[in-house]
Amino acid sequence: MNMAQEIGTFSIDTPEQVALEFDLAGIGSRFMAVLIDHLLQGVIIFVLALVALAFAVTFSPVWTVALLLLLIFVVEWGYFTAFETYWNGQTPGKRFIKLRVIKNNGRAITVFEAMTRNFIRIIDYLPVAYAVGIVVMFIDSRNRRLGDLAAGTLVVHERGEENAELKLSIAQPGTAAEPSTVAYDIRKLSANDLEIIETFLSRRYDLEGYARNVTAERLADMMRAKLGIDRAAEPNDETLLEKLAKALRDNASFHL
Amino acid sequence: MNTQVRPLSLGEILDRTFQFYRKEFVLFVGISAIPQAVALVLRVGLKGLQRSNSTGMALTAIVGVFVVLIASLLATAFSQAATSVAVSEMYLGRKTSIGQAFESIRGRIGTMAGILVGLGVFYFIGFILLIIPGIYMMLIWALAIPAAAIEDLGFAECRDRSKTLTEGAKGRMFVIYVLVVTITYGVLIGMGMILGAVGITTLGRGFQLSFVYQVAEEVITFIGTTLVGPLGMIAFTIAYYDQRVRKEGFDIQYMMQASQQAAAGSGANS
Repeated sequence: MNMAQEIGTFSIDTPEQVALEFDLAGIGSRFMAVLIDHLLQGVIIFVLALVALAFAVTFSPVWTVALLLLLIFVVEWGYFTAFETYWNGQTPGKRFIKLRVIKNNGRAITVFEAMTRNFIRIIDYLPVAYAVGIVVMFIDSRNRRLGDLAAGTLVVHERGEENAELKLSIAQPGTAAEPSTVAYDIRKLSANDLEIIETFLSRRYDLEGYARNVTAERLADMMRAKLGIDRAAEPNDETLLEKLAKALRDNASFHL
Repeated sequence: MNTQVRPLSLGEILDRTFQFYRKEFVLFVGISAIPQAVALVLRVGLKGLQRSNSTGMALTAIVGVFVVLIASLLATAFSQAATSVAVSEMYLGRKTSIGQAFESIRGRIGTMAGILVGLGVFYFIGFILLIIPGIYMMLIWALAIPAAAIEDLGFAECRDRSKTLTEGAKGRMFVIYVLVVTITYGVLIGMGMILGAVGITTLGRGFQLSFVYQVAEEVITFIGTTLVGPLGMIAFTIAYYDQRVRKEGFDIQYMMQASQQAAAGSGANS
């Protein structure tokens, strides 16, 4: 199972019979995006309130309050609509979390969809903290709130480089295995073994020192046992793992 | 091979929290509801006792307050530890049930309750000392309950473990708290507002003093707590594993273990 399937995917068949697959955004990531957006809105409204306070001293306080209320409405509603329209389905919060609003058919949303989904936002917000929206998203298989259902939109994860299946593992200078062949019968190792070794090699610099050493030792010992290698012949754990990964890659064949 | 065990972004942790909850809704609500239902019955009984005017009943009510407090504490400890264990099983791709989750923490309920009280006392002192120390403690010990439930640790060990795991990840813990608190109080306040509206229209002014309303309030709180209560523990248990993956290479160890088990299995079959 890959992550896309875990989180939930949505597939669209184009007229050219090409299946486009999208990773649906869940309640958690959408919550984070909307939290950032509301914080930004709060800052904008705070600045507007300060400006209004300065105006209220010289102009009519009643008109200042009326103007301020109008501006707050524009910020509350217009913020999402404007950003989603001009930033191709993204707000600052969605851009930061790498989410995007799209139409049900996979196309970019227009101003009408942006307006509709954000008009309904007030209902999703009821009675507090998006309670209605959360319940609807929890029930809906595509994690849509009422605004999405009304506008025919979806919120999806953007596919970035972090989703790429293949990760390069760059060996440390001086420790990398130069020869493309090793003296061991690597046919005794499986694709799973390669996956484990590659996972370790790609993550080793993120691990804490002790955890890195222990994991390398255990993994290398596991491979030594499978290949019947003596520790004295290959004393450096990470170098052995690098050599094996390289040899397995070099000798890999692809089957359809 | 199970590729679910890998480093997750914060958004993925939060998404997976709801994914787990939705997938095993009955399991999590059941784990949360059973101990809380016992506490609910005691709380409602106490409400009845508190309405009595006789001296004997009033004394019984005072004793009852302590009984309810202890029952509520045990119920919370029971449901939080069992939820943690259930999430752990799901995270590792194994099936579990309400019974199995309770069974796995049966002998440790006293320890878990002690940890809850201990953490509560520390947080209380921290919040008295101008809030910030309290928030700091909540962040560094955010993973103490999952660590205690899954690794069978005591009070001091689980705090140390959590402190180590949350190093460099306090921002993630903070966002999880914000999500959990927002949703929990959003749901509880929302349900309270609906109950209040129903109360004032059916019972009139002073409806808060009505016994029926007070019982209904307890039931609504029970329903709300049962429904949203598991979310926090699901999120923090997933975060606990994620920190282990990031800091200790738990995913690699897990893959190695699975590979060795598979090899042993095929060896036994051949």
